[in-house]
Amino acid sequence: MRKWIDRGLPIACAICAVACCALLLGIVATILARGLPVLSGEFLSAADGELLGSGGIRYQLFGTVLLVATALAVGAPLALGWALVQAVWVRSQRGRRLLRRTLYAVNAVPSILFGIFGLIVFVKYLDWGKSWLAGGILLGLMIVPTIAVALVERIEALPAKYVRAAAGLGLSKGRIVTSVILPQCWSGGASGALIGLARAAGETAPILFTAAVFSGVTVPHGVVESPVLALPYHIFVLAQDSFDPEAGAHLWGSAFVLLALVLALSLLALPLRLRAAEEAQHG
Amino acid sequence: MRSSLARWASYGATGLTLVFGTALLVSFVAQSLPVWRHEGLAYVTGSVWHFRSEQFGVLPMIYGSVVVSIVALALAAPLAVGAAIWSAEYLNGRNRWWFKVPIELLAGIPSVVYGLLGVLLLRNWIYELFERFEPLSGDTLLTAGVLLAVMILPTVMTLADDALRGVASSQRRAARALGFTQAEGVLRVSLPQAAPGLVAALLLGLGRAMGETIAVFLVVGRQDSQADYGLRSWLEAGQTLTSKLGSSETFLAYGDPLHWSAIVGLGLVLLALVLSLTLAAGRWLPETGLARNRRA
Amino acid sequence: MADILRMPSAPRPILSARAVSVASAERALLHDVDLDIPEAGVFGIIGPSGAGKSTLLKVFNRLLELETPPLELAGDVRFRGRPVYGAGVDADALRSRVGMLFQQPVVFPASIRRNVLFGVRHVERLSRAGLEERLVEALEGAALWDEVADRLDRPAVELSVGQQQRLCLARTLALRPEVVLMDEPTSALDPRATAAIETLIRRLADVHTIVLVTHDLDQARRLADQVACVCRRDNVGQVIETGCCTELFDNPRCPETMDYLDSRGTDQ
Repeated sequence: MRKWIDRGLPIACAICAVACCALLLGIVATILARGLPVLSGEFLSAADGELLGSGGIRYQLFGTVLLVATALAVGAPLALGWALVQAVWVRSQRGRRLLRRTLYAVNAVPSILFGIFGLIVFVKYLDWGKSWLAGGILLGLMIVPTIAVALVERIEALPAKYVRAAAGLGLSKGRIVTSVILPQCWSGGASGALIGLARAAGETAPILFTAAVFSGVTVPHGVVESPVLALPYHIFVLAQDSFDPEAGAHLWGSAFVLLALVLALSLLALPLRLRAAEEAQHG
Repeated sequence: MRSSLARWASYGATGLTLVFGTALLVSFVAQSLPVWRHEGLAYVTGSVWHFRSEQFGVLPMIYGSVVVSIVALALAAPLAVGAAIWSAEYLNGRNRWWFKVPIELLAGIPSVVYGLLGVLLLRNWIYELFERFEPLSGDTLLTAGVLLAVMILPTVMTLADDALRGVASSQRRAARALGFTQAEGVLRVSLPQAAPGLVAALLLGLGRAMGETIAVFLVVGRQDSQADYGLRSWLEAGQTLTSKLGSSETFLAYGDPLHWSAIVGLGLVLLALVLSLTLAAGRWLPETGLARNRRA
Repeated sequence: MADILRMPSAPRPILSARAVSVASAERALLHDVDLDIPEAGVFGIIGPSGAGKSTLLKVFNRLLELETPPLELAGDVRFRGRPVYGAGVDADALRSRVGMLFQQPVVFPASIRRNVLFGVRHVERLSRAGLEERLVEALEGAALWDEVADRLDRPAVELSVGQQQRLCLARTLALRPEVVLMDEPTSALDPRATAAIETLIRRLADVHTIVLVTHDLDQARRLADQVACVCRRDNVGQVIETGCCTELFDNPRCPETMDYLDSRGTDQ
């Protein structure tokens, strides 16, 4: 009996593990098989056609890149500041714990609530209407916890001797931050940022009411009433009436491009995380 | 000089983030006040949502959210914990890393892609699989639950893996030195000691399932009224808090203060549910593990 | 006394190693170890730190196999004349007969009672009364009964480190092992707790075979009937010499042993 359990448990667990990997493989393979044939230079570079789901995804791609870039510009400084406050400037354990808890709470807020919040503040209160900037700011706020936590983890893992040595040289705390802490921890922040961006690129809910429209716009020229097209929103709308075979092909192609974009960003973060893990081991 | 600049910039950024966070909370509370005044507690216990007759009861949406999340967790938990045991107890070093990479990638797949697969594949499978129960379509609470199960799998698995790896290896070795088999070590030593972390993993998985919008929206059927609350309802179209919030009704409601506040109230209920799950998990898991919770 | 143990008529060793070598992926840890450990009494393994004493200890209960990264073992190891590493040997059953005490006490986060009965519960089928009996027997065997009899259901972590180490011993004794391997069991303890464990070891040696790894020469002198000295020679751990305690201490034959004994002597 004991021996049977001893043999059975790893087999059962391995099956679970294989099933998890198989799910990923299945999802990626499905998207790949159906999306790859649609993919072409024209699909990526042409604007969308007159008919629903015809033509290319040029401006959807552009819109997503614009939103993600804005999210980075908004989210990265906020996250950097937060991480420095939590891990460097605030000394009391209680203060740090409070900040950490707050970050987790923000991280747990469902993305649709960011969308509703954006609708209240940007679309209605500031009267921007749908605007790329509103979407970018919301996505930026959403990824603050991801980046900040990655940075805090790296800063806290930094050997205390570095900081002490720098302090011993008479460096001010601000100098220590810019010349010791940041150079040592940038890879943590960068990998956090890449993962955050991967998430921002795939989000639909926050831009649903605040930034994205389905068709009829190209490059925004201002802030007010300047929506963009975006890949996830595009897929979201098309998925709701997927009976048109032409739209179906377009749909899979778009899903493939979005998935490729997101996985590429996540994979880019891997070497940085590997480096971090190695440094943690040897340093 | 430079010190104070870096310092004030940091505090400024933190303050700004806090302002946004607070504004979010305040706006959900303040803007939902009219509906609380109008409906009172009946807002959460009422089962009819009909905005033309100014009836706002969110019980069907709460029910839908709870059902899809529980289905998701019930399906994902065994698979995720099993995979976590495999990774934490049977793999070492580099092998574990190679196993965790695909899991991380699985976590990164956008919810709209899951939704698309749900629309084009899963809902047909569910329809065919349960055909003898005569569902009206493949858009059911169950479909949403199954889809969510796949989506929360990486979250639960990663957190469970962390919890198991948090058990000191000396404990395992001591158990083996007493003549325990490896499986007995896992079942009698690692799992009991990792239990708080595992509970936290499940709670956070539940929270993530509850907050997920887009994928659920596409396959849940979005039917406001709930005919019955029995097991049969799992194979019928339903509505969750999030799918209601994501619907076009949100945009339409803005002009009418009462209707709008009923919509925002949905958000407040959702926020309360998700945050209480997260905070409950935080009690079990005070350390950095919470950070790995993927956003829904 | 010493001569009796070395008489040719001495009984067959309970544990023996022949030409045992252990290597990690990077380097050799132990080379060509021959060792016979007689039944009952205390067998000391001494030597400088890093020489491979603990590794040698883990060879005997196959805990070696659980090391990560894995270690490579060659040679023949026997327990009561039967190969320890043979095909079809139940390593888990072996480990419950050859118990082990670690350098740091490792208690499970449970009550004292549960800790003591942790192993027995799963290895043997005992009635309630049988378990209770075993509990008392093990705790008395570890000289802990008087101290904990009134708080058996309190968490084990509340005990002092010395008590925890005796609790770990009780946990092992509850399985009624034939051999107890001890890996520097007192190095984490203060002098009083050390003395308590040492008294205990001597008492247990009447019935059990104790294999005691220690770097404390005085402790080896006080406790051990026979001693093996493991030193690094040609950059790999080897058993340099074995012998009865007084003989080896008073009259070491190998330069490494002399060196080691000298250096420790001036230390203290």
